[in-house]
Amino acid sequence: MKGGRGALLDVRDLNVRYGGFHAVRDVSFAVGEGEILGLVGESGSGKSSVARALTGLAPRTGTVAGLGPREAQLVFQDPYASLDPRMTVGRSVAEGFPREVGRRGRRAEVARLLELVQLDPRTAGRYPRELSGGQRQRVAVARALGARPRLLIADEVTSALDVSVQGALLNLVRELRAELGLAVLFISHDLAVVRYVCDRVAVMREGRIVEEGPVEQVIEHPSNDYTKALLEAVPHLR
Amino acid sequence: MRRMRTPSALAGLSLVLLTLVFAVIGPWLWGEEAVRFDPLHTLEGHSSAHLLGTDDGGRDLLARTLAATRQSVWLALLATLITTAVGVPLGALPSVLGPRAARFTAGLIDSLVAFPVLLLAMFAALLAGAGARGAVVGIGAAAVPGLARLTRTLADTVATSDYVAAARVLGAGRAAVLVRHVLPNIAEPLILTVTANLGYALLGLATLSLLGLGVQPPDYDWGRLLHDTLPRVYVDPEVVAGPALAVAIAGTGFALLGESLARASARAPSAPRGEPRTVLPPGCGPLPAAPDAVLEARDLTVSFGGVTPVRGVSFSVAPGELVGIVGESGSGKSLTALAVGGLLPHPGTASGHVLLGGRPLEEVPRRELGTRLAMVFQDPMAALNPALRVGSQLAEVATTHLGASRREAWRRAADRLGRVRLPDPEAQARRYPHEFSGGMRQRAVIAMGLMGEPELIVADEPTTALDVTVQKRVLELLAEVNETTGAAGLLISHDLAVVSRHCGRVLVMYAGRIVEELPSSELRRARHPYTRALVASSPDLKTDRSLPLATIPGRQPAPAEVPDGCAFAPRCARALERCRTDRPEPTAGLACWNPEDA
Amino acid sequence: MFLLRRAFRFVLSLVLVVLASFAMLHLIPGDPVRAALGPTAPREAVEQRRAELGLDRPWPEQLRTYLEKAATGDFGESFLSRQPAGQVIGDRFPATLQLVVVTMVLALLVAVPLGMAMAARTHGGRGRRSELAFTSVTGGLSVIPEFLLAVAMIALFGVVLRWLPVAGKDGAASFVMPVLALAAGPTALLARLVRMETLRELSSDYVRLARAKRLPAVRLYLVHLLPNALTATLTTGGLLLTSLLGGSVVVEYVFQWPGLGGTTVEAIAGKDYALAQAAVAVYGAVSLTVVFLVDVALGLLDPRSRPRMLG
Repeated sequence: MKGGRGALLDVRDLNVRYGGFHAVRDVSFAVGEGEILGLVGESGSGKSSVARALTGLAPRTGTVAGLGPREAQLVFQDPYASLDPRMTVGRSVAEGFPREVGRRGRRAEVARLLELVQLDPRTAGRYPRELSGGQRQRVAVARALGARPRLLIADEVTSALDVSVQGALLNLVRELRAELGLAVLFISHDLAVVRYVCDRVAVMREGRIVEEGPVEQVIEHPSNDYTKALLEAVPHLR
Repeated sequence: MRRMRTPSALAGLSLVLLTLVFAVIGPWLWGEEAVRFDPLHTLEGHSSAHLLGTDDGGRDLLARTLAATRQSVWLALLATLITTAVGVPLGALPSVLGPRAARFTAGLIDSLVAFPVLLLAMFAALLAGAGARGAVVGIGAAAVPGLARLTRTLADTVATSDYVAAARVLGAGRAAVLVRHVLPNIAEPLILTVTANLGYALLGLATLSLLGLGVQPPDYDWGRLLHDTLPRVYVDPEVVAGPALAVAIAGTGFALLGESLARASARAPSAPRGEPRTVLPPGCGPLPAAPDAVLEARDLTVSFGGVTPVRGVSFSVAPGELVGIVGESGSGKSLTALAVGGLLPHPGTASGHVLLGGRPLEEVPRRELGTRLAMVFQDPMAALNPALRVGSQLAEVATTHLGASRREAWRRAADRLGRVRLPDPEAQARRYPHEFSGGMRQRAVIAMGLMGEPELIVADEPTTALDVTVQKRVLELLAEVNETTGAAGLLISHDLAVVSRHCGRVLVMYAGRIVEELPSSELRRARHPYTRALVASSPDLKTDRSLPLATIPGRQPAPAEVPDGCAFAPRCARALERCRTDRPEPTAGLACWNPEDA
Repeated sequence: MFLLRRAFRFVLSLVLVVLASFAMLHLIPGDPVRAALGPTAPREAVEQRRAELGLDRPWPEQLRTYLEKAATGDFGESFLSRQPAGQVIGDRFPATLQLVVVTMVLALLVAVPLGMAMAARTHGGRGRRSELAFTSVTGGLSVIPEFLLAVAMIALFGVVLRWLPVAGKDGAASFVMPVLALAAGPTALLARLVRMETLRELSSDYVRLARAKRLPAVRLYLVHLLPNALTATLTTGGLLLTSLLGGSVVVEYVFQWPGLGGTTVEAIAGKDYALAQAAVAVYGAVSLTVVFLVDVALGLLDPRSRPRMLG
């Protein structure tokens, strides 16, 4: 919305309740075309519930406008749990292909996607257990891209990875935006990572968004006390 | 089929094969003899003509036993078919139905499981009428709740997994999820369970027939033969041997085969069983004097069977000093911490030297280790015993090692909980761990270390599981304890920033070795290419957003595949020919042939 | 709160069991009275019997009288002996209860220490030979049915060696074989469970921390591990205890134990539906009671299910 781009996703008064637990309370935000919006917060802040609600995995109330049913795709935190151990990489990636890809186009499309996430196309014949955590996470990204999403939701995608692998995945997210114009909702507990990847950031606490704005502004000049406390707690390399 | 090699599986398999062979040939070879009446030789015991005696019609019991194999196995097969045909769909149903119907079926299954199988079978058989048909229906129906519950548990695990969530987001319907993900992932354990069920059905049918509620004359199965011969056991025990043995062989065969394979497939792939342990020679020569060091590790090596995840690590920590060890997962940093604490899990062995206060670790009395060495682990949710009050977990240090009375110990525990700044420590001591938040638990663990007179605190990823705001306070507490008690500290973390903030000195580990040792203020000017790359690839709040993040290609070698030369060489942009063949020994805190400029 | 919820579920299940025992008579295909009296019985006798049993009245009324009577322990009279079913059960049930309780206690007393000791001996992949011996023996015992053990013991100890009485209930010696036959399977399974759960606990962080505190082994195992291993074992293994009830029927039959099992078998074989009905209700109620007691024990062992303390 900001920066002159049209809103791709417009969320108004989103609420998520699990039985008696109110996980997300009256959350509203928008993601523009080709924009990366960061959602930061500590455990229990409701940020992952937002991701699940937007993709139909959690019950929600409120209005979510702008995206068709499969146009938001999700990449999960744990690459060791998010791939079916009995499916080859190729089958997993092809899982969300739209009908028009057909049987013949499938192999080529899998190869294209694997290359897009910088994996050897020959990986298609391998099983998840043969891959490292970073490679698996790339496969999960390729699988999400296979459904031709307009919004990619990345839920703590680097928190199970080592630092040296994390960098490559963050670069990939930025490249996908640059190359495909993909919008991303980037959920993380790590402010430094969010600052590096995102254009705008929303800070969540106890189910609510407490501050939102361009990333430089929120990081350099936070207005909310909780945001300030979070920033202060981020360890710095001396 | 490596898991076939367990003795139970092998035994099961041979028994099953034996049974199947007799099921095929039994009636052909002995079918006629089994029904041949001989009024002159009724109710006889063992003789050369009739090895296992005869029944009330003078029929040979051995022949009857062998001929009955097919009938017994056939009925068990039918019963298992019923169980499977009803149980598997019933168990899979909840994952396909809506939530309310799912809860109802699940509740129904759960309450049926509470009833003993045999009783269910007896009453099901009663309803269906005594006889083979009733018994088959009864035994088949009685095993349904158990199989349904197993199916449901298995299906639930798959249905709640992330990959099924991903499939749903990709647009897969319930049926597609069931066919593509759930069934392939539960098929193997289910098939094995059904195999075991076949065995239990065989035993159950034999039991019903034995009670006179199953197969009725003139038909016969093993259970019926037992029913007829049982009253004679007091006179001619050998007459029951045939059917009893047959039931034992066939029933336990199927059950053993299914159960042992199911267990093997449920178990995580077992750790590689290495060759005989190689114990390295102890560190060379007399130790250089570091008399005031609280902790001194010299050429510390940790081996697990044939693999060596920690290779010749040397460092020392002075009183009041806080030293950090950083490295990525698999670098050996946590095992180094455990070796220092003398807590390596079996079959790990440490060689080299670990000196605590100048004495070798193995010579320090337990009581001193219990009071002077404190450990803090990564997951505060798991580090406290859920069944015991927090206070008693602290107090036991004092009662065990300091000879304190229960009351003194509890007073001390409350005092220490106050020192780690838990509000109202007396009340907190009486609580159970589940009533604490993660940060409070980690404080309680630190307080536990303060029960004695700690000289060394080893903290292994103490804040990795905590939120940043909590992490900050716990780290500050650790640093404060370190300062006020004068204890030495060893802080292990994957996070460079965490270590640099609180530690004076940092050891960087890669593939089981220390590659660089440097003051944490010098991290940005590190000379080892790995340390440099690690610093460059961790974003902080000042990272230049216009440039791509630095990355390290490739991955750290697993302990079993560490190369001869520098382990980092394959990933290193500055690697020379020499780096691939000769291992650089650490000199002046740096193990590198071609370091970066300072 | 927790106990209340469990107690409510227990009562509800009891009612369901009684309803099921009532429904049983009506689910039997054909006419149960005709079946009980045999095809040759004159028609008038069958009709008269039906009237006596109240089977000619509409079923809601039958249900009401059944429930009213069941509440006072009156389950009608045996089709065959004409004794009140409640009295038959009252005569027979104590012997069954004795057998089952002695077996349960024995199974727990053997399985818990054995499982824990084996876990201590074999954790982290040490003691492979002990592990193999333990898993083979318990694996074998857990699948061998009670009646085979019973028959084998009768042949060996009763007939060949003549050490123990072969049948009936007469003094302590007569308990040995029935209890052993009944206990072997559940004990083996429980011991395996205890070992597995103890192994799981042994690899947990709190045990590592307890080791770091250099606690003596006795305290580590008895104070730290036992409650947790026991809770986990009962959660998954509590049902094993009810499976003893099923086994007891067979064991009673083989040893001619004067309990409810033999009576039940006779009732079923002789189509004595009233008695069978009562037996269903009693066995069902006992199973539920065992499950309930296990639940209560779990609640007491696990502080997480207890109400939060004020303080």
